[in-house]
Amino acid sequence: MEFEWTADQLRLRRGAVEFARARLVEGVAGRDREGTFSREAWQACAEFGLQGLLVPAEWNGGGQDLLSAVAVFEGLGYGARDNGLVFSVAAHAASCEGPLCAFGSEAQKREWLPGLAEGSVIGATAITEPDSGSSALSLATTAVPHDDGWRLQGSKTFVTNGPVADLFIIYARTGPGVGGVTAFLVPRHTSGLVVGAPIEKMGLRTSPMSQVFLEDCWVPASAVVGGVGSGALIFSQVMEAERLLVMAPAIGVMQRLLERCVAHARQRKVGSVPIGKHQAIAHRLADMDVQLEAARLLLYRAAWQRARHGTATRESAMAKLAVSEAYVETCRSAVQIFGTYGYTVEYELERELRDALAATLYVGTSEIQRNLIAGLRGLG
Amino acid sequence: MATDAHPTPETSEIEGRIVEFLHRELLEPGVTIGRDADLLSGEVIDSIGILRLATFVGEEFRIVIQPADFVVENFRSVAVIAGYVVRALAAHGPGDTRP
Ligand SMILES: Cc1cc2nc3c(=O)[nH]c(=O)nc-3n(C[C@H](O)[C@H](O)[C@H](O)COP(=O)(O)OP(=O)(O)OC[C@H]3O[C@@H](n4cnc5c(N)ncnc54)[C@H](O)[C@@H]3O)c2cc1C
Repeated sequence: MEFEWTADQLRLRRGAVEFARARLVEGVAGRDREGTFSREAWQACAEFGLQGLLVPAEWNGGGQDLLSAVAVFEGLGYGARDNGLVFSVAAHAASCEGPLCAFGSEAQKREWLPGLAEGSVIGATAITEPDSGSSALSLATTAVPHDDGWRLQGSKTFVTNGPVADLFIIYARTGPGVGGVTAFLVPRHTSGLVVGAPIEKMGLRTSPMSQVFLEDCWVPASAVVGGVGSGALIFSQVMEAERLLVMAPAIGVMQRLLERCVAHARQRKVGSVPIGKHQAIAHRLADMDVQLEAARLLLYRAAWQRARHGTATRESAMAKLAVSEAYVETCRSAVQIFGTYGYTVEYELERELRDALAATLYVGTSEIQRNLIAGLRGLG
Repeated sequence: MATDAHPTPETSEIEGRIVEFLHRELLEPGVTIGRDADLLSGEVIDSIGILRLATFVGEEFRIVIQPADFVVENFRSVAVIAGYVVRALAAHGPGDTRP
């Protein structure tokens, strides 16, 4: 059993921290307040190689495996303050590039992967619908064969990157059962695809989100990703990787907040006593430390499993659950340890907490991760 | 490339073990399934069921299921899954799929 990163992975992680400190800190408070996505920061990420990290070299990508990508995204979380932008990049990589790399046809890869890897094309994925939510595969959007292609009809919601995306992977029902869902590649300017107004959110406000409407939207047969009827299976694989990639920055954020809280607890005196001398504060920090390490190990273990041994269904659900819950708890503790300073916008901890709260919702809520973990044991 | 410790099972034995798992773990009591029956197009197994089946197949036959292999062409029916297992074993041999 090895617990060490390779020299290359450490170099990648360090590089990501430095990049994030230099390019993903400035101006975040304003963008968060206004709810704006920074195209400039997105392009800086692309030039650094983030969008292409997991894309094979032949399509202009970095050709890294998931474990190395986890190291990089953890570094981003540690160095950056713009959690929303990092989330947008992770969603683009895991849920749009991911299925194209694994299941796309040569023609699809040739057409889309270089642009996605270079950041000139922004990707999004749309499965959630107003009436399906957690039961993602109970989708009502249909795709019906028509004129050598498919006609899509329905509506999707909570689509990350929706307002700025150039390419959507859209899941629709093509028949009954688990084998009756199909994934389609739909460019933004396809007739019948309508992007709704941006949805305002509590946190991750620099990551844009919208509804997407499909009104008799015709796509050619070549838009199918991975074969008709494979959508649910593809989606399960996309979710596995996405759970790990989107949660990796949270490990970096938790590490940064823990260090900040320890420093504050040692230096902040109330009366003449540093607050860290109080067992109540010291124990809270000890708990943050333990939660971080436990979450970190589950995440690394799941990413290792997936990079080396194929699918990692149970491991990725456990990692997602543990990291997201620890992330929310850590941000809450940070606000508590900083007292009312932590509640002010200036200290930037309230934003961390608002950003973190989404983590127990996206890519399957905590309840759904528990359902999956129990379901794999034949329960529920 | 099979090792002595883990000889490659016959296709019929693979199918038998998958059918046994389906009956024991996933199918409603009294429901029987043929080797060519479509597992994915109706109410036979649900979204967690297919993940359990894939996990079982990986562990039972000691094959690494690559994400790109997880498509209906490889998982549609018992016979199709057995064919996939045979191909995976022929390509890579049995391995340790989990630590
Ligand atoms: C920041 C963010 C980004 C997102 N990006 C995308 C995206 O890019 N593309 C996309 O398609 N979707 C996206 N989503 C949507 C997200 O995947 C869904 O919101 C999520 O799956 C939950 O669905 P819902 O909001 O409809 O909640 P509901 O399904 O209505 O659930 C409400 C509550 O009931 C619980 N619940 C529901 N069913 C069960 C059950 N069977 N057992 C136990 N508890 C249950 C839930 O856990 C939750 O607590 C995003 C969400 C967020 C927050």
